[in-house]
Amino acid sequence: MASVSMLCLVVYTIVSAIVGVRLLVRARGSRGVPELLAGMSYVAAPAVGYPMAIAGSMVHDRTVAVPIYLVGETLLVFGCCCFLFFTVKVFRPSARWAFWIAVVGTLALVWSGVAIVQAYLSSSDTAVITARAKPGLTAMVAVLALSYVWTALEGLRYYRMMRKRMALGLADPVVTNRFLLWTFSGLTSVAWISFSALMLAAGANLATNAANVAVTSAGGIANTVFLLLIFMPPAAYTRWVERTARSGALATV
Amino acid sequence: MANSAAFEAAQTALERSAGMERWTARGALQLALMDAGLEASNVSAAQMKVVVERLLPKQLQSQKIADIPAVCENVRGALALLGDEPKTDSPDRVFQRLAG
Repeated sequence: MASVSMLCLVVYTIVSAIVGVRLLVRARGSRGVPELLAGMSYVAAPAVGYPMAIAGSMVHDRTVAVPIYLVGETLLVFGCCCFLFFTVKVFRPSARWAFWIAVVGTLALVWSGVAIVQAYLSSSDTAVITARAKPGLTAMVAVLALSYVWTALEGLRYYRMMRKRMALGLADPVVTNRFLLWTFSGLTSVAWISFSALMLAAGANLATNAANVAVTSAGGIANTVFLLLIFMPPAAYTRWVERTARSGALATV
Repeated sequence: MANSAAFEAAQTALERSAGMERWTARGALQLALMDAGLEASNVSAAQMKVVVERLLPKQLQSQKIADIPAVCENVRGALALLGDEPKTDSPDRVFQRLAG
């Protein structure tokens, strides 16, 4: 189980790194803030931060483990904050409430990151670290789950709008499909984060619990597929979406 | 939230040619945009023209506006004077760029 989990993590890390770097390169050319935020988010959190935090917690030599863990946790929090502001910038650029939700979410993520790091620095005993990190971890899981609920709702709202536009010939079916995939990606993240939250509440160790590892691995693989289809769609998939949209349009004539 | 130039131009033309109150004209356009899945903040002139042609007549009928074809023609004429690209970004433009 541990090797399957590790394989899923590696695949998700590699795909996130490729997608993130592509977005950052694109942001350099277009000077677009959404590309920059999404690129930083994917590079900082799933591609570098999360694996570093995992690696740091597995290294026994504290002189090596502490800096790795610190950098990893910092990047993880930074990436999650970028994701919140990506949602604001893309879907609610003029809404003050959305901006303040992102600010509050950022503050909560920073607080939880600091609490988790403090727990890690306070002891080298895994059981003690797990117990002390629980409040911070709970806050982080809650904020992440809520942020992905928001992601899914915005994706679904815009997907429904794009469907209406398609009926008038005002929307590209491939771009419309991207919003549906974005919704699925958000829902997948909500599912595995919620499962982790339940496990955490039940007192399980998230890193070693077999059910949790299986669910998070499956979620990681599903999100990898969604990332590829959204940001680097294969030509065959694009053709399939266009063909399906055309046949749907003909059926309604 | 500020509305796009296309929305403002359509609203002004609708007020003038149909003799509608400002808020009535705005409401009719908003409802037509909602049916089209578009937003007043970033709708382009090209998108607005389609809305005026396909969905606005239904809204004007419910307002009992006279000579709807002529009113819609006037609104389309006002939109034709605008450039096509709105200045603001929108989620669909962002998602088109992201995979680009």
